[in-house]
Amino acid sequence: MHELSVALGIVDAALEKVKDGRVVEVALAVGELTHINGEQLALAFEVASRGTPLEGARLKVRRIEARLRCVRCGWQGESFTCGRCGSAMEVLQGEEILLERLRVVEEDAPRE
Amino acid sequence: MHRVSEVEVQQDLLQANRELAGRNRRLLEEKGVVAVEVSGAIGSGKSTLIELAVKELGLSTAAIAGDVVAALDAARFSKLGIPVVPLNTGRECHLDAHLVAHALEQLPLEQLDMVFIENVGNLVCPADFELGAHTRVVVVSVTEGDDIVAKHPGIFRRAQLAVINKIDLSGFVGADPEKMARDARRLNPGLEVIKLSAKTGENLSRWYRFLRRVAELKPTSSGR
Repeated sequence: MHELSVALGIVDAALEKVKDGRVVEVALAVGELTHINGEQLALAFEVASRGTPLEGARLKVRRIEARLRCVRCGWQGESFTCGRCGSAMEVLQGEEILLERLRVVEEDAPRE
Repeated sequence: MHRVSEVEVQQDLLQANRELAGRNRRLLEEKGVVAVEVSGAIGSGKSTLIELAVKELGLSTAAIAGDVVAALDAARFSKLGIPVVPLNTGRECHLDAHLVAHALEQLPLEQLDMVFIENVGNLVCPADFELGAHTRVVVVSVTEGDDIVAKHPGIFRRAQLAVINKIDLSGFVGADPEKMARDARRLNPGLEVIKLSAKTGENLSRWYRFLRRVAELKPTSSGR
């Protein structure tokens, strides 16, 4: 439900990295434990990127699987409770919304 | 001619919020204030539980009240004579650390023991955004159906206390508070669970006891 703020975050972060050229592809990795919906994000991104060098860029979203580790016995899995001893689990991955890389096209020809 | 290049970024978009949350927590700790985030379902009794606590605890408290629009909760808290900052998120479905940072600027932190931060009524989005509070309470009630906990694992996993409210109504709505408590503990074995009724007062003393314990901890930088 907060896809729009994530989309605006993508645009801000990209504009900091890319000073010249046009962004044609955005590679994003979204953790399974976040509450982000891919399709809604694509729509939000379309809106958020309008009028910026990211307008029209393709948004490629990769999923990051959840991985958790038991705080007591070290058992790893996807559940919130340890499958071996029943203790609490800590998150190793799956809570991130990672902007991985951008594909940028720069026009070489000088224009006036 | 044009040139195509790949620009590596590797930046977690939620990291900025986490850093701000950490800054909020450090500010509160410097001033000796404990912050309690109260998240939960719409109409589950978040504001009522805060009101009752403000009256009962005898601490110097303040409240930050998040709402999508309007400031109805803030108006309720103002009647208690405590400092209140209403926060309108506009279109957003959750508070974030940035909004809370601005709210903290408006509170007389030196004079306070405890700040309640009431999040927008929502069991989904607030889970992704730490605010900098020392403890997170999630409030649900039996009227939302007894599968409400199992349907929202994220927020229960990130909480220290789950309150299951309106247990006096469980017979009328056919919901089993025991099942809700079991679901919550299964999601988060370290979670404290209190089944209570803010209306009849049943088990409210446990809510106060939890908060007194949190207040006694006094800030010494806790986990997440």
